[in-house]
Amino acid sequence: MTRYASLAGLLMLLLAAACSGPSDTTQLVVDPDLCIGCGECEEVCPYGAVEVVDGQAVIDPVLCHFCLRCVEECPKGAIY
Amino acid sequence: MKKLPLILLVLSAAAWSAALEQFVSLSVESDSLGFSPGRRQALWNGMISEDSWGVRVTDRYLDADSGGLVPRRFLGRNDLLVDGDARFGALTVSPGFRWNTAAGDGLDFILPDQQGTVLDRSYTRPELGLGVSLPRGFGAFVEGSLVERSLEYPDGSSLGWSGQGAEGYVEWDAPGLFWARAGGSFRKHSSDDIGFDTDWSGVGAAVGIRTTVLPARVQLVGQAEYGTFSGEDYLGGDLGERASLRLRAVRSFTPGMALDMTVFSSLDHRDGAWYRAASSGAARLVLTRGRPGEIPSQLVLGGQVTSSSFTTARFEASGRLHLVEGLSTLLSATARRIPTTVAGAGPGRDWLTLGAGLEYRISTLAVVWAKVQQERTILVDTEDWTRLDAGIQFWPPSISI
Repeated sequence: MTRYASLAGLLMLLLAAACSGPSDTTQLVVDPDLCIGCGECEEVCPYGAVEVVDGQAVIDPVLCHFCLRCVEECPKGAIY
Repeated sequence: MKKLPLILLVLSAAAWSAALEQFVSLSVESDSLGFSPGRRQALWNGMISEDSWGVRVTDRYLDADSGGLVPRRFLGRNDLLVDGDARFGALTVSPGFRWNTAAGDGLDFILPDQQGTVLDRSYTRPELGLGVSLPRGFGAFVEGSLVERSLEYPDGSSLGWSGQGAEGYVEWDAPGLFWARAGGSFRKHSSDDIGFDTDWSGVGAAVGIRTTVLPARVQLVGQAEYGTFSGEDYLGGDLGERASLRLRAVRSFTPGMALDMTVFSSLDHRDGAWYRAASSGAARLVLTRGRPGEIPSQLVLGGQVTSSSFTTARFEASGRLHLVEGLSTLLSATARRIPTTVAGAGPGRDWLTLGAGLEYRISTLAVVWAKVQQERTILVDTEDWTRLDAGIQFWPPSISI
């Protein structure tokens, strides 16, 4: 297990080292392992940017204004 | 007219083997034990299915107050979703319809380009998907959807808002461990009343490894994905390209002990350079004890840290201790650090919740629970309150039609 975790960690470090500058992304990620499709993100989004489709939250990258309300309200911490 | 008995005979024969499955859930999550009702939810889920077709209906009624120590940002809505699928040999047709409507005045909907705020009264989304299974493990799927949103100004005048979406992909379920997928998607949003018209599209590909058992009782699953997008974000910047990698490994130490680890990292490509986008690492240790057929006792210890333009952290411990004949005690502790948009609270919010309660499970028919939670959140001031989380979930027996 330690070997696999080390390998995955090394891969992440290589990926991070291959890019430049701090993250200034305006695109949120929905974690498919954590999202339970409860729809709380959709309810609190004031821009109509979140829809639950087939049990998973989907964030529209054009409508999203990065207000982070969905991040704050998600009970599972699935949006980051 | 002579055909009518034959049609009825065929229909009744087709329906004879169908079965109705249902799920009902009622729950309340209060803001405090004494005052605010908080959030109440009723959910009904039904499915009628036969070998070659199925229809699913889900209705969720949500009612929530607008008060509370921490402002709630939703009031009440009813969400109806009807979808189904019918298989004709290698072809699968999947129509769907969603109708979401406000139970009260509706939520605030902020219009783009600083054109004010309106009330979100309802929206409908019909959709149609077509899938086909091809030889050698290939498959293809296309789907189209329409969104009609009903918005309303405070003076009662209405505002139209519509959207169209389409997506499609081809996937290959390769022999052995791997799968691959390539496809594209398109979305368009417009409102003639305010002169708003925008769209975006993307094409991409993903390769993945199916759940694979490795030595030392390790299971591994993962995928790498790349997509390039046209369109602009809310700041007017190009959406650009994104590459991501997700790996998940589960190690079973004994039949009742497993460690689940997930790592995710994504990169954005804009203006000729790659930038770190979002990344996360999570681990979860699950300890389970109980004889086969019994309700198990379980302890879960987990945590997750994420980093992008902001950081989040979450650590939790939860346990279920089976006492007697379906009765279990529930314990939970959660600590979170997340960004907040509560006015005057600063950029972050620390959140600690401790809970204890009871759960009673009636075979596979129903489960009832009630849990008292003590919650502390650090905002403008440190707020402490006690609230109730309770509900019932019910799985009625299957009904043959």
